[in-house]
Amino acid sequence: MTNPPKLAVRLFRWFCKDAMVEDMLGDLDEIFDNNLSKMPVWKAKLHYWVQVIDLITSYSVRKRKNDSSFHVLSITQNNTAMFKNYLKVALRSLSKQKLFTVINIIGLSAGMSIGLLFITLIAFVQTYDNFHENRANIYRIISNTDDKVKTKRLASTPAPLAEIIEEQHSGFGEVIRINKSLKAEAKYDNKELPLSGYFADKNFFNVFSFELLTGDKSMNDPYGIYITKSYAEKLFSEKNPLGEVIQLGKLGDFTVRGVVADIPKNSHMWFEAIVPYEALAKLASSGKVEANLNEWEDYRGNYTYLLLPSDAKTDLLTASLNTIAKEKYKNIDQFNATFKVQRMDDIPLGSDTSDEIGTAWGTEIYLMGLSLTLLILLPACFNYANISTAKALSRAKEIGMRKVVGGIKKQIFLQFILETVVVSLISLAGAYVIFSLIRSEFQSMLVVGSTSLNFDITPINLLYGILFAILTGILAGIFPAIHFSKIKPIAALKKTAKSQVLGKVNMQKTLLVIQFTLSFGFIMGIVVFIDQYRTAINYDLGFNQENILDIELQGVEPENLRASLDKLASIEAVSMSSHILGVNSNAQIWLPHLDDSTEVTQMFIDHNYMNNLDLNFVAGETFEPLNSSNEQFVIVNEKFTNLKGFDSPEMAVGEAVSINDSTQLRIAGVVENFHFQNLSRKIQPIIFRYNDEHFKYANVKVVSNDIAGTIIDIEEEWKKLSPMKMEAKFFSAEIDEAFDIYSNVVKIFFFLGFLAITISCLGLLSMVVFSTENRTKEVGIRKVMGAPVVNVTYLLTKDFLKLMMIGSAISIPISYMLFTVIISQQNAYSTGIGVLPVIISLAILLLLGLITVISQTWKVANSNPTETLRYE
Amino acid sequence: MKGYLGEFEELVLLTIAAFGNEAYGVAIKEDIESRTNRSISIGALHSTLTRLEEKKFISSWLGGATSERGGRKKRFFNLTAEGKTALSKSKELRDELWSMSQIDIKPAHD
Repeated sequence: MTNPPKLAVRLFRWFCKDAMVEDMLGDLDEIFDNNLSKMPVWKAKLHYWVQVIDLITSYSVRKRKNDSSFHVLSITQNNTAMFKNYLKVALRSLSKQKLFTVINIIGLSAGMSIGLLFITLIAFVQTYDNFHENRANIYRIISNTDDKVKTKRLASTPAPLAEIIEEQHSGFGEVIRINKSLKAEAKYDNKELPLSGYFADKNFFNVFSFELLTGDKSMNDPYGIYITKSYAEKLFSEKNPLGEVIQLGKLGDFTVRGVVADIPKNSHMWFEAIVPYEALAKLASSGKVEANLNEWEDYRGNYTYLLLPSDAKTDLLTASLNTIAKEKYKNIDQFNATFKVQRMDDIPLGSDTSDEIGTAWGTEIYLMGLSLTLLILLPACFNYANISTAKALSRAKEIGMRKVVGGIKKQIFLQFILETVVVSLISLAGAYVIFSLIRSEFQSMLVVGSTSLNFDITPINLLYGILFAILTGILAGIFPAIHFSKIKPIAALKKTAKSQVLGKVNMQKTLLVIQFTLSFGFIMGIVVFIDQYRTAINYDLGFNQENILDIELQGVEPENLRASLDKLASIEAVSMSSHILGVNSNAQIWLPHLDDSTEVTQMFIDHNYMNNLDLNFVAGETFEPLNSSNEQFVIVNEKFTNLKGFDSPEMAVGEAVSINDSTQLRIAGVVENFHFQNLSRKIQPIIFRYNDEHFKYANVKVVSNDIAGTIIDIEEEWKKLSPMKMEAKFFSAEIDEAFDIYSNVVKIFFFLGFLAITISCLGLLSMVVFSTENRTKEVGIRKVMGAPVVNVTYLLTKDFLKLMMIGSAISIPISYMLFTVIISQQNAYSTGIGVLPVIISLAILLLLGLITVISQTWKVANSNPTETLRYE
Repeated sequence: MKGYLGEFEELVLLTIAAFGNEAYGVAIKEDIESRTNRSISIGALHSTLTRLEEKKFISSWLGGATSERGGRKKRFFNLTAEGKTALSKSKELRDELWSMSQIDIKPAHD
């Protein structure tokens, strides 16, 4: 006999859900049977299908479904009374088991605080550049360059590109050139302040919505300058800056033509001043600024932004840009590049470009945030799942009862999910407290100069936070909810449902092992970084940092200061320098005609400097005292001579080095390699030149033991020379700060590790409390039979000990490899991790774990058997 | 008078009346199909039955399990007093109109 198509029957049943449709199905079957005698089977089946669909779409089924959902026995209704009951029961059971509730809430709060950090960070990144009115129509050009050695993705473009675009696409939109090489000491009325900003085309303020507080948008004065409000306040105090003249070092005088409102934190551009691009062209042609505005191979710091009409076709533009690129680069050996048009919305996250104009995030921040959140949050969820399923016995009767009076699986599931969501919402409050405590710390850890990061809670963040809490609740609650919904009512009411602690249930064991694996990883991270940090601080950098006081000159004549300080007996020598070695990083210059055209660090020093820092010469000698012919010479390090291809340092002495097209210097001496940058980088080439115009710091070598007294003496002398406050710092302190590559990593790891370990220990604690509670009778009997306390403790502890060992065994190789990779990135001179940190981490983990476990088992083992056996 | 009787509704009501207590989905469908020589969709029939029941013209009950049609129950329909009134009112209206009409009534099959 042929049956109706099963799928159609199923579809019909599924669609009708709980509605009574048996008679309809009967009708369908009867028609089908009749049809079988009249037509071929396939046709009858087709007919059946058509009828099913006909019924599904008909009023009759709709009506029956509607009726059924308001039926007394319906389970699909939205019954608020039931939800109230769930909520009440949830709160009751939470308050009944205070210890476990508190443990869960602490754990989830800790885990969720990291999630909140991540959410606010993402929410903030989402608002990037949203204050620009033209945001949707602003684009920038990014480049892919290939010099046969390396391919790079750059946010910058060659400077001459803009002109060609304007020629070829006139009227197409606006082109804005920006060059970020505006860096100078601004001088006004004896006050000096460092200034950094952009050279930008005249239409800058028309295209970008940086608000001009006073002044004129047009930027017609090539030597006009627009400064931000806070910079103006610093330089001019109360005075109205408009029309005042600032001297920008060798760049010359600039008149303030406008004051810009402070740059919003969510801007990808950041500047203190804007100067018209015209000025850059003039300064470059007179040699006051080193800029290659006609060079197609020089990308650094040159940006091209576009404002296009809203219907612009960017792929056409990209194609035409690449035609330009082909044309321009076809005659250049060893270099090729392509361009791409990038929307402004894509700048903060989508680019992963280097040579950025300001802050950029890159997609890794998403990945990092997400994985950190999960690493911390998941163990907390595991705790919850573990404890709840372990405590199933106490809820089994309730669930059994619910099922007997008609509760179905779905309802029980819903009830327990709801209960978990209640816990996670309470934890959200706790998470917020932790979050407010740590956010400023994190802010400074995540970004250097963290002005561009905002961790404020906005209503939308709050909404995200609540959503996140609900999600967390579902995540944590899903295992126990499934577990509970499967409880068999008969077994539960007969009280045979077993409590399952570390017995047959492998899930709890697995979760505990995962927690220990993670905890070990974090502990090892902390130990390894502290170890590496210690090595790094004690690392011989190759120069003397002790007892040197760096004093900012602040406009004081170097020789006057030297003369007055030399009089002091407690001072051995005074040297001058343009930068503080290893501290100011903006001293890079670009040497042309060097084989792989690397960046070279450049400093200006005087004749005493090398002695003060105990730098050893391998060949040649240092500058002569106070001789202006020194300016013709240069001192280099060994790395530099290698790079230039000299066979030996001796050969290099006396040879010529081109600094740029107009300057050629002779090598006076070669110093041994030393670490003037932090250890994450290999030693780079550095050159030292002599020019007293560039001196900014006096380096005073103090020989006296009375440091405080000496500083007072120096201040006395300083006051005679300058009205400004003396700014002095010890070199070693500054070096420690600048070389401190580990402190942030250690801090982050320490914090995360602390959270992870706390969560794991809490989870462990609750499992131990529960399992020992269940075994009090057994312990009582054992003690009556004569078992000593130590044996009982061991018996109760050994299961957990085993799990800890398994967790560590899994974690050791993974962590070891992971941290070896991280360490080698952080420290180019690292010698690897070694065995000691592994042993220390293992000891810490076992110690923490054992303290947690034994604190409970010992208590139970010591309990009085008469008490424990009486409890029945 | 409550509710207006559509042509199909009237047809269904009369068929139910003809079956007595034995009117159920497929029976009604096949009877109407054979008499009117038109095919009725099961969805349309059930919708009409549902509407008639809402208007309280018919009542329904589930029959016992049967050996045919996969053991599935039948839903039987019966006219209510209101249904009968509605039918007779409709007939009265037609009779009145017929009596006033000037058509010679001839048997349809001649």
